[in-house]
Amino acid sequence: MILEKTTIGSAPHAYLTRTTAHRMWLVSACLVPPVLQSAAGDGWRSLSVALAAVVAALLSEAVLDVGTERRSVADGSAAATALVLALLLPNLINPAAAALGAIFAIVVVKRSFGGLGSNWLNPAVAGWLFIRASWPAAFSAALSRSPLNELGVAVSKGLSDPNGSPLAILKVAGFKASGIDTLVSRSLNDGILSWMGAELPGGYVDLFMSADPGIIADRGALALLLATIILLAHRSMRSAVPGVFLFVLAALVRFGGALPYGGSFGGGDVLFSFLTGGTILGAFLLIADPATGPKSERSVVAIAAVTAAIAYGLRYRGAEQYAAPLAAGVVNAFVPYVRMVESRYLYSRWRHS
Amino acid sequence: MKIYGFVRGGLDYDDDSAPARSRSSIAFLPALSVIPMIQHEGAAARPVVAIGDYVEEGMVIGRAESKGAANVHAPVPGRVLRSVLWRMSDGRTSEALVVRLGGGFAKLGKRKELFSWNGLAPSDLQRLIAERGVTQLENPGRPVAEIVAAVRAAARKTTVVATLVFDDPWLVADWAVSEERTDDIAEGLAIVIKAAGSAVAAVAVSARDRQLGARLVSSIERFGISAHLVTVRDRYPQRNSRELDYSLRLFEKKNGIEFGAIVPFSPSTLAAVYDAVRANVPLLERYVAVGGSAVKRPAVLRLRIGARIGDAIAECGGFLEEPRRIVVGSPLTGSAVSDLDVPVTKTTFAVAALTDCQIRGSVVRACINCGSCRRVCPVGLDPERLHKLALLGLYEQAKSDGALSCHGCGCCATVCPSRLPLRATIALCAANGRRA
Repeated sequence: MILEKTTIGSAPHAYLTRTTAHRMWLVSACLVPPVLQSAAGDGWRSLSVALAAVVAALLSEAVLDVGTERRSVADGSAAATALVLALLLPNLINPAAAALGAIFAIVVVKRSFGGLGSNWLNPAVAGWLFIRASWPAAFSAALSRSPLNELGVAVSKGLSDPNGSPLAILKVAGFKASGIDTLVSRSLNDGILSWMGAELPGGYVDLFMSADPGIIADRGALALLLATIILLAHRSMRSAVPGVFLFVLAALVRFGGALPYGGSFGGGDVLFSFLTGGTILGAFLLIADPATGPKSERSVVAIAAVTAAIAYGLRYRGAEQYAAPLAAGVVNAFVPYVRMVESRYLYSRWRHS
Repeated sequence: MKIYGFVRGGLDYDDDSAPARSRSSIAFLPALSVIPMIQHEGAAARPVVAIGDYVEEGMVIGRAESKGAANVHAPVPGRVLRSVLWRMSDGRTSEALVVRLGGGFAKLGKRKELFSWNGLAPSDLQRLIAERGVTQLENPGRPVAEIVAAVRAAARKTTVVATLVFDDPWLVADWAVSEERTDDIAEGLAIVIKAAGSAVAAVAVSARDRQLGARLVSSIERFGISAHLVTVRDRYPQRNSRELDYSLRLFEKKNGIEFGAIVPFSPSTLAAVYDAVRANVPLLERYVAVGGSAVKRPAVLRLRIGARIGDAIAECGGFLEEPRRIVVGSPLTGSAVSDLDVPVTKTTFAVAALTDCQIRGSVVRACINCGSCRRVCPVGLDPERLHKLALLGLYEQAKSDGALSCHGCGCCATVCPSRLPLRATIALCAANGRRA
């Protein structure tokens, strides 16, 4: 008796992992809440930026599929790329720029190299760099009132803090903690932290739910952190990558992160570094992107550490506030060489045996 | 307790839809049996009965006449209705005899008569095993008599290993045999040792089944044979010959002993050897795990060779829903079939009826370089690269990158999120590499 719906195929007949499409759509779904968190405080401008990017990316993908049997839109990678790109963009940027960046990411960086998995540079990072290079004035203008920009301006004017705290400098520059920040900080200080003999200064709670202009990833930090927990729980990324990246970055920032703000060695503000400048997004979604990563576990760990060092250098020894995404792009460019060396020395020992 | 195992890669494979570890149950006898003349990777047997003949239970109906072939016996009494060409689950076509059940049973329901084998010469034991058509009861299904003959001819130190290694939940039928027939397995091992002219025995047992292994060892010692108990990991593919050999060599080194050549046998095979020699019963039935998300009551059944897998599934309550795929063997490495009339053969250890939810998607997409395949490869290959080399037809390059070292465990393909047929493409590389 032949069963109608039964299919034939080669082994394996059951898989132990989720499909690529499932992973991509999961990433996409997880990136929507950060956009909404940001959009809730800016009159839905963040949402229009994200929508423009997603629609442009999906249309580009669909147009490139015309006349072929490919249905790349269904794999979810275009939506995920567009959402990562949107999170890297200022909430006040013109949505048209986001759309053009998404088109560049999909058409030039992703598809011209063969599509999903064949690109040598993360398409979202490429789209972000494309927008920054093409409309630098618009990009800067959209971030002109952001805390990171104000911090840079204040430091350039000679403002500093003996403890090297960027939040203290921002306070002097005119950024006041919100009511929620004050309330939550006070509750924590009066409760749990008082038992531990610690005190949370004002301003940190605002970093999780910023109402100031900035990139969407920073404005939706709380939702983004929750998203990373979901992605880690679903094993949609190599957990070692963000782990090593954040560990190395934390060590470097703690050691030398206070110096640019007038502090001394060992007093850097790690939490501020993590919650601003797209660090979380870079750690969990850009540097951990397997398509642009090396082959072996040891190289993955090494690359994550190197990327952290570059991110630290760009931000604390240079003038780049959004250092993690930029560092991911820089390292991406060298990964093909790393993969070539790995193929030659780690996976070709059979030639000699 | 030291646990030995391979060092790199592998999977922790579990499947809730496989039958639970419990005692086996005897299935109803099939009204119609389809008995292929080839039931393993070797050569076909030649039918020695004609259409319309009445065959008795256990009678030879297919005679092995070439290397790699094994005798085939009538699993039930009855009349030969016709001869058909049958497409086997592995894709090969074989002549098969269709037998309608009828008449009296020569073995079933009769008291088992036991024969002493102590006085028999190794060559006589080998002949008996060959006559009863005993093959390995899992792929590749090589005739046991040929393995024994090869070991004796090699005349070097050899250790016969009983593999109580259950790294795949679909090996539960083998586990049930081990639980229910421990003493028979021990005696089967003793028979093989004598037939092969070997003196050393070992029992490789999964860590969580150590007590079962200890019971088997003490049972083996009743025959004056000392057996080493080697506890190995439960991680798939620990049972594969390469990984098993690696683990046993570690044990060898650690304990300062010498195994020599290692010849593994599954518990089911050793029980079949016992039946053939001690009870004078040819290979007529086997334990089969029947399950999958689409099956109502997964169970370990004792099925006659030639029984239809559809009957086996009906014995388990039938389908909860129509399955998306039916697999003969483990879902990791077995063969897909779409016909419920496919018969149980000597190497059928499991039948799995899988639903969409269990398959988890089979649409092939582009490789995303995630590296999952590299992480699980127990050999240390780069399956992603080998797959891409195969697509480019660069077989010579694939050969130098280790394609010939792949032993087909399928770990890489099982974890691939893009559902790439890595196992198949690497096998293609290896086949072309060997020709090059």
